[in-house]
Amino acid sequence: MSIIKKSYSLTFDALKKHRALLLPFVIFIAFELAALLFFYLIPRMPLRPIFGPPIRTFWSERFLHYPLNFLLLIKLASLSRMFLSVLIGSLTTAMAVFIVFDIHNKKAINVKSSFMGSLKKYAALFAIVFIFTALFYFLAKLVTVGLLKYFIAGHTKLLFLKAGLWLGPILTVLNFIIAILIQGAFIYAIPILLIEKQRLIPAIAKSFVLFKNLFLPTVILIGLPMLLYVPILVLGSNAGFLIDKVFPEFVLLVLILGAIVSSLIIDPLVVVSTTFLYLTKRGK
Amino acid sequence: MKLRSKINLILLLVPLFFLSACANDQYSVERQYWYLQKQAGKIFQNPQGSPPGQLNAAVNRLNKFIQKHPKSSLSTDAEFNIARLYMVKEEYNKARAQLKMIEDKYTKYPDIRAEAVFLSGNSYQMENKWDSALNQYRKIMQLYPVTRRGLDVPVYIAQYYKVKHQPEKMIVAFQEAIVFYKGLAAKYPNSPLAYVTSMLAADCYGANKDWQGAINSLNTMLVDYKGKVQLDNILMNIAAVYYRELKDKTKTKETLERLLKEYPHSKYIKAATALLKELSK
Repeated sequence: MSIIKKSYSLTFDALKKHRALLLPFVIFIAFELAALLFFYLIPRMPLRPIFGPPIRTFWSERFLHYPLNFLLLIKLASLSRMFLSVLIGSLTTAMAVFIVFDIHNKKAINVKSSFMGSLKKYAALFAIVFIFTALFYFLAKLVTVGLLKYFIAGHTKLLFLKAGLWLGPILTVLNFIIAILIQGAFIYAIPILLIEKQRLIPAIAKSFVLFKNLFLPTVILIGLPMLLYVPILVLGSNAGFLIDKVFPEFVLLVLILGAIVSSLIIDPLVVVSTTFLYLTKRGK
Repeated sequence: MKLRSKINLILLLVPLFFLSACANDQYSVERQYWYLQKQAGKIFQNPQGSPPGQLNAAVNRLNKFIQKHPKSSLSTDAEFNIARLYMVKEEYNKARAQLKMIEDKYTKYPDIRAEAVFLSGNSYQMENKWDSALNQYRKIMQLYPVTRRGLDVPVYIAQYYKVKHQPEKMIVAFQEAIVFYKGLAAKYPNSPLAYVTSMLAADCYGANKDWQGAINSLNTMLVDYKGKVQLDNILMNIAAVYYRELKDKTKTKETLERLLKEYPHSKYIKAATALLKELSK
């Protein structure tokens, strides 16, 4: 437990003393909110004539109308977050890792050099986050489709539990566990790549080994902040209810809140704390 | 262009882009209407408990919306919603006046006019004035036969008698419906409408348990539409009637074999083969 306490103590201390540490995450959320706003505005002029047809083709015309556009907005926000994580998140995470490394070594923080250093390794960073995101997406889909097929085939129960439970809260918990485990397996790949200057495959392999050795602390450091996202998940999965009982724009507020919680609270806590854990272990 | 000028241009364009979203476009009209519907929904959910002022306020707001967006299709929906609000509040004369206004207004839109007359009939039904309601429904059959409501209403009348446990009147209503549908099929031969009305006529024979009439009607369609449309569903229907209702195994087998021969890639192949297997036992 002391290792977790130490990581968190270093994390909060760093976030309190070095506001520049938050900059990469602020950059990411700026892109995320801009994407959200863009998707929110698609059913309106002047975006509708250009971006309406893909929505019509891939989903349905009804999602271009009020208030059903908010139901699709949840899916689009999730897809855009995934896309941005690979494209920009890989870079901003690397920047944060460089800044943590500077803080750990008691060096002056240089945002520009951390950006340039990340940019040099962009291809490898992109590959790590892409593999991790694709793996999570594939496994989450596999579990969802597997459960759906199982119950569509006519089974009413699985391990004494009904379909409603499996496809509702249990599926959410399973996806949550998958997210923690996959993120845990890849979490040290970026620090290893940047700090130890390893190549892509050895960095990923070393990350797997480190995750195995530091399984419990890593799972706690990733899982604990992620619990903050549970209320957002619950609200998001009840969008129809929110539209009907509160007001449709409330879904947008939930998504904005979700972006803030995930990009400005969960991501900094996870990235900074695990990087400190890695640096502490490396120092030993 | 210098960097500073570029930044200034972006700073000017970004707010303009987002401000354009505040324009009074279709989306904002939908949004306004959604909120009006929510208010009207409170009355629909509890018509007895809602105070009279709430109805007037809802009607006024809907009327303002109609005036503000006269060309929007949602305005037509709003006009119907006003009539529906009066109906649930049992203000039937006001409802019918509103519906008459709609019927007179949309002279070029028979579907809208038929819907207005149908709702007017519903208002009489809610007052337990079936004869007046029936007059409205017959008016639809006469004036707007080739509308969605026009095609529905003959069966609607027959269903009313069925629900009210008046079998003689139900049989007569289905027979009238058959005459109506066959008349339309004859008037618009070889058209998609004729195909639909012929199917409806066959359904009406079935509803009256006149199985031979249903089979004759479907057989006529097999002749009329041969080579024009896929007829596997009709063959399957005929087979089902022979098997379930007339208990004629030979005719069922003949029809199913014809289906297999003429439509080897039909979606009914699996069901037809299974039924043939069942028959050969």
